[in-house]
Amino acid sequence: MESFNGRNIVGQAARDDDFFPRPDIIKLIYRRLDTGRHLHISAPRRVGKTSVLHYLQEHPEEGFEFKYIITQSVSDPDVFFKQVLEALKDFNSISKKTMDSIVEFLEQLKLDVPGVGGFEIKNKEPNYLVNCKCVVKSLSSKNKTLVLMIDEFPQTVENIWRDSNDENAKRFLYANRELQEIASKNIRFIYTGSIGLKPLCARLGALDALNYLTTIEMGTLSVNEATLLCEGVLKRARVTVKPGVISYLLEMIHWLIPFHLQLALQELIDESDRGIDVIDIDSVKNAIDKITYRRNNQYFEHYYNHIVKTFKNQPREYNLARKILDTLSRQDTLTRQEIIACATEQDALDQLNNILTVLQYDGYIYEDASKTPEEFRFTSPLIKIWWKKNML
Amino acid sequence: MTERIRTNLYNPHEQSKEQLISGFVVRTNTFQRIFDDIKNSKMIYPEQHYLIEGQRGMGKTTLLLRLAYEVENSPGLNQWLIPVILKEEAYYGITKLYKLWEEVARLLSYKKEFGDLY
Repeated sequence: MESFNGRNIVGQAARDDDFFPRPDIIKLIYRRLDTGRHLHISAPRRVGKTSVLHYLQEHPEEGFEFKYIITQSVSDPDVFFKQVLEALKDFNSISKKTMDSIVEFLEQLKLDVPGVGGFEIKNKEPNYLVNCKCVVKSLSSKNKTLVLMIDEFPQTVENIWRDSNDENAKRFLYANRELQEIASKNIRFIYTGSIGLKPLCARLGALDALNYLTTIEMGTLSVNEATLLCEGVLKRARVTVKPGVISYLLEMIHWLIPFHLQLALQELIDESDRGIDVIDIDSVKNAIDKITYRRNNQYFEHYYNHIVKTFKNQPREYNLARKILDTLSRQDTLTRQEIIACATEQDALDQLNNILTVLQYDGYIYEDASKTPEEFRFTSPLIKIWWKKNML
Repeated sequence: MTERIRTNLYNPHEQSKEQLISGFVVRTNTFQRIFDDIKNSKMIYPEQHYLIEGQRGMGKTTLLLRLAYEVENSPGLNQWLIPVILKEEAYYGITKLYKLWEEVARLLSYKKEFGDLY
């Protein structure tokens, strides 16, 4: 396994040798890129998508160059495509001369026909979408595949949708599809984000906008990987643990995403700083309890805020989503029949599938198909504990 | 003299650097951990940020000042790392992000090498 320095980076993307290696997902990304497809990395919040993107940019394999941009706050398609254009111009593998001549050509065009690409041109500003199309079509690099990674793309779509309307959001999605379609063979796009792109496109009636994307599901760490992460962090922090403590910790966390592990490890390190010589199982129980205190709401509040935003102006959908999550926080499971009963009670049966898609896709709950009847559970015991403590 | 010591005791900013360092006898593990992180950070990419939380009187300001003084006293760090310490009353006027940077620029301008900054 590549070098991991054991530093416990909590909350932000891990860079350089702070990054805990994820060789399986990295290999999968390269395999998919080799097939010539554009990619969508799908995973709930805090699974490590951004850290993976930074790793690709910082340690590209031979024959690849990656450029990372984040468009989370963007709510204007013009601003988005301007950012994409700036990133495309920034690839080192493109000679400056080539890029300058493309840019010069585009500036001479200065198209001002309203409606081109579907977006209004303001004050003879360049049409950044059209410029992007010119660039991706004509860019070529002899020996490298240039990969533009766009983080929080679904949030951008949602921002455009909320700031304007369905039609503009759909048009934006289809404009990106056009870019993917006409891009030269050396250009690839990777899109990812904290909210589900597919459910969002489904709500907009624009699932076909994703036809040119291959989806990669990014999952949790394996037990072995999670053990190595914990051991590395605790060793660097010079914290001694009793045998069996790490296994117990992993069992308590259950949904082994780096962020939840790192939160717990930080609490254990703090415990050690307070004078506990050897960490035991009681320390783990205390750590789990402390993670879900109100003072740590910033780590979990987005799970609630996302529900509020997703079902804004849709009180029946919001009430049903809340009912499902509130009930699951009090009891371990809900069967599909029980959920249907909730939906009937809330008069939201028609919306049930959409709600379950959002809750599952965004990592709140999962369906355990191995049980009969199938059961729904909270994905993460930590989220469940937090929800019970703070939302009921 | 007694009055000055008393004021000093409850206001870490009023203590001299030496006074604060010699009086810093608790939370040493936490201090060391954060300082080691600062010392070992390459500062090439955004590093781990910290939010020190606690009720009044728990020693938050003392901890921050202890960290700042250690950076100032470390030959390996003080050549390129500058602690900027905002006192609590400075926050009352900081209502927008640019005001924070203005205040930082103002504090830096007290150093000779940043004379023209503010």
